[in-house]
Amino acid sequence: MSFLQVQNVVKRFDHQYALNDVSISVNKGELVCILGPSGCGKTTLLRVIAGLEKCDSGKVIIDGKDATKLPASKRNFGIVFQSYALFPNMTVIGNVIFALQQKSKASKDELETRALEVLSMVDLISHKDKYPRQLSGGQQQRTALARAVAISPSFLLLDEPLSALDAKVRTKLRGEIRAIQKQLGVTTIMVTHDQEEALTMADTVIVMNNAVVEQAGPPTVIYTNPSTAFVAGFIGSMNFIKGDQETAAIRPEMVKIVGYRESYDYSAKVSAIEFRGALTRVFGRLGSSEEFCVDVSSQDFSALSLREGAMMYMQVPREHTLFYPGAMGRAV
Amino acid sequence: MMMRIKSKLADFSVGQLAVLSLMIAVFVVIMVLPLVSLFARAFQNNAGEFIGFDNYIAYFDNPSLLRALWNTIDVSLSTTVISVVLGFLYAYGITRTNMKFKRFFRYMVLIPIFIPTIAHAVGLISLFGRQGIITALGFEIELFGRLGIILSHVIYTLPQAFLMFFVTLEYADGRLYEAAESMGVKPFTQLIKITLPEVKYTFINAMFVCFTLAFTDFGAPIVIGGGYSVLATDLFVQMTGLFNFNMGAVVGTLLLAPAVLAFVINRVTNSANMGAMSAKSTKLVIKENRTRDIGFFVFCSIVILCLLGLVGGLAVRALTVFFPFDTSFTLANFSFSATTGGIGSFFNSIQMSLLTAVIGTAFVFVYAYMAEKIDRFSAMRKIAKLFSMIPMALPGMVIGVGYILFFNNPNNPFNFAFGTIGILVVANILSFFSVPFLTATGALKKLDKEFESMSDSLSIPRWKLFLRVTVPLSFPAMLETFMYYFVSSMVTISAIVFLYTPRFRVASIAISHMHAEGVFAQAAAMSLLILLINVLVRLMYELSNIFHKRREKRRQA
Ligand SMILES: Nc1ncnc2c1ncn2[C@@H]1O[C@H](COP(=O)(O)OP(=O)(O)OP(=O)(O)O)[C@@H](O)[C@H]1O
Ligand SMILES: [Mg+2]
Repeated sequence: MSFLQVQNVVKRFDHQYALNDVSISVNKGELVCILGPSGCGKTTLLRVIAGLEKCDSGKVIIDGKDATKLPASKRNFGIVFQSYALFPNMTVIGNVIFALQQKSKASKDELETRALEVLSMVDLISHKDKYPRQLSGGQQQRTALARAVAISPSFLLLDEPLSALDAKVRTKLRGEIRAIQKQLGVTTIMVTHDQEEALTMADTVIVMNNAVVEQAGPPTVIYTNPSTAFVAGFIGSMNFIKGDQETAAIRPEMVKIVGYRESYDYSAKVSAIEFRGALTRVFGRLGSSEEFCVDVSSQDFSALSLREGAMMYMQVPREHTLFYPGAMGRAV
Repeated sequence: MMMRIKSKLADFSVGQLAVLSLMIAVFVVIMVLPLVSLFARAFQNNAGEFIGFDNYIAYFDNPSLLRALWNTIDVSLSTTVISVVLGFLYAYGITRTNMKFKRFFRYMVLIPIFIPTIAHAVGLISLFGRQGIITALGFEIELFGRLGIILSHVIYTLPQAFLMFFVTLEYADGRLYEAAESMGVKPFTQLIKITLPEVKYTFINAMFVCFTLAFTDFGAPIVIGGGYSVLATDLFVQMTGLFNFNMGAVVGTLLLAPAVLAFVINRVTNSANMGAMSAKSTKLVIKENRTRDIGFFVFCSIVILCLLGLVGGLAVRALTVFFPFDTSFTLANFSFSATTGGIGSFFNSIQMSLLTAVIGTAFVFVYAYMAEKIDRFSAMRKIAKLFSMIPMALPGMVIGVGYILFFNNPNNPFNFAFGTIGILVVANILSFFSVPFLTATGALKKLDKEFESMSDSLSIPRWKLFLRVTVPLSFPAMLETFMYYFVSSMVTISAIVFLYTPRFRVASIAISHMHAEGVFAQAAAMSLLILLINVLVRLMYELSNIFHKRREKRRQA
């Protein structure tokens, strides 16, 4: 059952489209990641859902009711901004209580109990009396999350919540956010431009480009069955082979390197070899220009005895090849 | 209808619209309408009929009035040349040499800001007047008239010129010099090719600022001008002596001319300057050069000795029985005679300045918040921003005359304000509005834009966000604004001179009355009191700044 729907929303800034006829649908309790390159309209979409930005046309439906005209304060959501927007003159618990005070008439003690409850959820009890600037980036992030969920929102909006953190903390927090989201069962929409983040965390991934939605679906579908050439190129690595009418696309790990005596589809001169731990990626050139790469498990690679300048022969299984109309496409 | 509006303007917009409209309405009443009255008067005869440029023709046909215009241009030009040169050299010494006591020099040169211009003149008279200290040593100059006015104006404008050059030179890009150094460019060539272009726009702006300040100052010429008439004193005579309001309005518009020109030039040069300053710059490393350091040390010392001499002159005259005839110490001069306003005028000044500072700071911050942090009503916010910069171009004298013409009219619903402390406070808030507005805007711009989105999502009303978050975070800027308003109001005279009533005199007015009544030692004593309170306020400001920084540090530790 769809909990939140955006229908044909258009939003323009001056003459430029930030959202051009965007429709999405979010089920109750799921975590949706909106993924796309910088400037494609992700934040704008999130702000339209929040009611912080008015759309030019289209509808936002929350829990079956038309919320297009509803002000932000009446939509009952929690939000975490990219900058966290923690009030620097209030302590961690002060920030949470300040948020709680607006929505409930409960006594001070009750508010504090609730604040401690959410702070323990994000493991910040021992830091509750610190000011934001005394916290690490990850702790600030968790404070913002605690503040957002404290008001028991009916949905949660996260705008690149992890982008300001370094890689290690990011991976750790991914798991924590996902765990809290599942524990609360709160419908969550998260914006990111990190595809790994989207693929590992989301129930549904929505890929945007140039103010439109390119594809929406579960991570596995997005990865194995990208519906447009943009999605194919944007998610993971993809080889594109241009034809006259259409462009063929195949993932590097789906290509098989074979001996020259076996039947092969393409041959290429090896131009570079990259060792990537478990995998080794072999680059070559098809014909004169198109770059092509193949992932081989590093174990198998040593058996192949390939080196730069040598020829490699490849089988491209038809069942793993995708075709897109037109001779466009972009090698990755 | 009301329902429709309410549903269209979601959330807190109705409140925001109300506050924004109120702010603009306030500016219309306290600035736009008085200016309209002023300009309207300049084109009317006594019967209130429109007569085109007749008043201006009459003005330029009258040799004695015209004389004042030339005199004003003359003293303003002289002041500008001297102040800009001194201000540049002084700022250069502090920013680009390794001389000793730089911090001392930097603060001491600000002394003139803390006393009214009328007290600069009183200080000069203490030294060079007929019973002056230096005159007593046998050194006489033709003080009253042109020379006195110029000297007084130089004292007044030097700190302003200095501050402008200081800011430019202090934040200049050190990499340019490092690059020039590595290419083997000679120091003198560096000065011509790098330093001068860097301060080019500051030179232009400083010239206009000094010229405008000198052009419109009233305090100095009224006591030291002698028979030398200038526009400001003429305006005063036309308005309060001859009651020729139409001619007064003409002079008022003339006073406005250089300020308006400066305003336009400043806008142009400021936008030209932006591009040059936006690059990432490094701090300048000052090279060793003892001769240069000693030279600038001597120069700065002479300047400071002159300023300290001025204060010393005030002190000697205030603390002796009757200089130079009876030089014994006394505090009797601090028991001011009641006819001139007495000690009451000093407390009136403090009361007026406190009110100005409190109300002004609150008004400026709410105003800047509405102009900066609201995302709707962009047309109204543009008007608000435009209004905020106009006071920069309005001399106090013009505000004063505009207020007489507008408020002192029985048909005006705001007429009740005329003759109260309220109108003095309003005139001050308007007079000094632009600088605090820039301070406030700068402080607000540094705050995260997403605070507003955050508060909307939590249905925290904007006023609550403003009080609980914005105000505490802008505290240092508010303190600065408070101090600026207080000190400026303590020393101002030009708008006030048209608006005070004998029942409510302020200290700067009292000084002019003391001088006129010949109780000169009291004028000197009052000047000292103003200096004292302003320095105290400044010290308190610096202390609370230090205190605030410490607290911030603790929160980060
Ligand atoms: N307030 C605004 N005024 C004008 N243009 C805007 C405004 N906000 C966004 N835009 C424009 O709309 C487009 C979409 O912006 P948006 O912030 O939604 O992108 P985004 O996908 O979140 O990008 P990023 O990953 O960089 O955060 C951009 O081209 C941006 O320049
Ligand atoms: Mg964004």
